[in-house]
Amino acid sequence: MGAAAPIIYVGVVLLEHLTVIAIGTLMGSLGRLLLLHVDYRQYPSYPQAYVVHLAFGFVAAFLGSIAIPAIAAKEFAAASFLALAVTQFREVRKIERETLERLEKTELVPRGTAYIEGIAKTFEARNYLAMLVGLVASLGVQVGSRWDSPVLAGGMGIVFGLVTIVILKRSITRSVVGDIAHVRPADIAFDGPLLVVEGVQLMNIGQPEARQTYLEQGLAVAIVPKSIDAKATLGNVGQRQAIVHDAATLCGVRMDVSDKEFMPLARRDLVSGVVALVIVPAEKNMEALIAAVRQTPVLEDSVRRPSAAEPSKIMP
Amino acid sequence: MEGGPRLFAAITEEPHKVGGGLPIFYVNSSEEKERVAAYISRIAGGVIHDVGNGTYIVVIHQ
Repeated sequence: MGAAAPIIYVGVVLLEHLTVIAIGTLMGSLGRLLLLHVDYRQYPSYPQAYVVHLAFGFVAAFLGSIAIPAIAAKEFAAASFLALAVTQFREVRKIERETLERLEKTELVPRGTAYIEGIAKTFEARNYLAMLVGLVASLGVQVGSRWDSPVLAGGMGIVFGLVTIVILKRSITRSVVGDIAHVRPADIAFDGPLLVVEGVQLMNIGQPEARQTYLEQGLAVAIVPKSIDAKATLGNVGQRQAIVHDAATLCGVRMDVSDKEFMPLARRDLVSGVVALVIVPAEKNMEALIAAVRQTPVLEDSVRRPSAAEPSKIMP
Repeated sequence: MEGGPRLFAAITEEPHKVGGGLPIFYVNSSEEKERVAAYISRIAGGVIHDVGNGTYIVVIHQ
């Protein structure tokens, strides 16, 4: 069997099952489009990165929708294309990671590697979702085709696809910091040169003017974990950097590259696990800061669940 | 996080309290200390920290 054999199979399958593949690809691409939205992160950037992700989503959906007709035609070699797709999408993750890591130097408040890894993983996962939607939608058309009505079969595929999109969209929604912790206002105080919030020493500020700026313009919040799991999750350095990055993105930050003393920080209380965050925002608005911290996503890689294991049950 | 903080310079009113292999700036008053520290930290992109004994240090946080 030559190397071109799978491609010939795909060609044969394509002609026979044009509706199946067309509907599958359409629904999969639609699914990718619905999962792609520009929000405060401005990532993926619009419009260039949109094209990249939609193109990838289209390819993923196409490959997904080919699987069912291929299996129906007993062309199992063509179904192996899915394996090829997986390798390609892992590449997507790598590209995303590299891009964001390179951009990290240009960020006033860095995202941190954990946040970057989370974003990269999301983009890889979304391609699999596009593929899955394509697969299920094409399955719908295949099932519907028993009734000898192309309209009915097509409709069936669209319904299957939409249901999959809705289920997936719901199930991949990540929790946010507001779900795992209470966020409340806190006071900024100085113990000599030490900036103290909620009894946590955050930084040594030598310059009296900088101290004055913190007292006049700065805002601080205490992030109080709701459970032992939340305490461990908020202890993760990457998670805290993500919170700081999002707070700085949403509330603005009164600093430039040479004003490192105004770099927003989040440090934890060693005993209680309460995280104290301090920032000099562009506009002093406590409610906005609390909202920003609450809506920061909980990073998949920082989630810890000590409560699920034996040692935490032994502890008082 | 790579590299960690780097001590760049010390600015002090107490010459006998600071020594070693880093630039040390001796000043006569706390106003002069603040001014010199501010200038140096601007140039180096560092942060001024007060170590409490009449000395400021400029640290570059990477």
